[in-house]
Amino acid sequence: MFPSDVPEPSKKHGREPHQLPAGRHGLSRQFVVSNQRERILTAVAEVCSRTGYVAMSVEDIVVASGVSRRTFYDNFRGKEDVYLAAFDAVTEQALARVSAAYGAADGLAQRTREGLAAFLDFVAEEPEIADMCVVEVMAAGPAAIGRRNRAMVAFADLIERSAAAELPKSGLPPALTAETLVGGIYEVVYSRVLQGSGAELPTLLPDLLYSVLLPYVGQEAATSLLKNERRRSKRRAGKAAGSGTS
Amino acid sequence: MEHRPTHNRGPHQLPAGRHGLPRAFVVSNQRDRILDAVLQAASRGGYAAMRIEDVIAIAGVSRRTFYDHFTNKEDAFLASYDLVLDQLLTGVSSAFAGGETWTSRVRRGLGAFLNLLAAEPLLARVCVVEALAAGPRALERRTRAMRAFQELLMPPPEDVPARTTAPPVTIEAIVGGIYEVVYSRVTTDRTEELPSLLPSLLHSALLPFVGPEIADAEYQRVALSAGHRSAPAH
Repeated sequence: MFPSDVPEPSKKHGREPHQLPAGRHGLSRQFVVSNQRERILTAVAEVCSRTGYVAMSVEDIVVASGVSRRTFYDNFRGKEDVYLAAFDAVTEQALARVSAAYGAADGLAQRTREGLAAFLDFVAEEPEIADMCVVEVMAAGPAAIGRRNRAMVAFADLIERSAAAELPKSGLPPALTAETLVGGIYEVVYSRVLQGSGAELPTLLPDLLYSVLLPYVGQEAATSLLKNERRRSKRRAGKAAGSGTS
Repeated sequence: MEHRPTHNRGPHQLPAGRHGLPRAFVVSNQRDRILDAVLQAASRGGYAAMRIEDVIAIAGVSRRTFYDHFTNKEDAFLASYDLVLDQLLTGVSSAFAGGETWTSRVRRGLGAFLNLLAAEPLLARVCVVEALAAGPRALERRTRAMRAFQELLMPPPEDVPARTTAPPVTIEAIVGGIYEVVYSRVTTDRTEELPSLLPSLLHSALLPFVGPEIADAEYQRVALSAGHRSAPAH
């Protein structure tokens, strides 16, 4: 998630594979600093999902990232600060991925489908990040909750904007609809991630897509999209099973 | 400041010594005071920052009395959370039971839910926000409560137009969507506006099961009657 192009390190001096060589290594100061920062941010998701935000300590993050305590405090003020930085980086990434998928398709139905699929895939592929951003954020204090609320608004705006572009004003559902739909997806994701079964989320795409589109496209269109989507995901599952055995 | 008796007793504290009150009453009264204090302390500074000192100061009980009733902070929080969840679920269930059709039951239940939260902002904060920050045992309770609300809201097959194709995850998403709207209002100190959101939330809850005509009609009806009074329709 935080790409780092560290040169392949040797295993000497008990150095972890992600640590830069000590001493003069010919790497620019700026590179070292940004690499350390990224390592710390990457460690936050891992530690936070293992211990939970409340029990997480700076010490845990220092150990997991392999930087010194001093380097940690050169970059971050403390636990909340580093959590918020990691949360921001990851949600920006998730929102960019969803927006890109959304923007690459045409029309409300296809856009919503692609955006939702990208989101569910992201959560399924990154269980630690999902835990940090979806479950632990609710325990990380008012600043984190404020950021979460803003991210939810951004997702709801995506839906509202393309609905408004496509439908006549009289065809739009009540004002809170998009917020409620995004909250519904959040809950479904939250409960799966909490139970450690986030990997199954992409299989819920057809059903969730139906829920999101129904208020905008009506029952007939939503039902036919649901059937289509179920066929597609059956085919995908069949393919996956076929390639899994080879 | 109010007049205080010589031994620094708070106005809510029972008189010390022999007061002729049965022991069981004193005990349950102390326990209730602690549970109430947990609501206040947790909603004020958040569960993470809540200390037992805060709780006993608000409750006006001794540290020892606290530990007579609860083993630690989490134990007291869970007892308090159980109590308010039960109040919430009971209040919603009984309002729900008063309706004749599923549509009217949902309208009543949802209206009661929003009114209760708006009337009890401390309860709202603990149930909706702090419970998610209070560790795995609180989260298990929350999961059970969400399931209970889902079951309550699930329309009986005979009450819903047969052609509904709503997939199984629909009800989970509806309850989650209502939760989200409540959560964002409570965390931004706008709990009091919840009852005014009934028309829109009702529309979201009904639409997948009764279709747009009935959902729109209910929306209009509730929005109209909410315009006439401050509390939404029942």
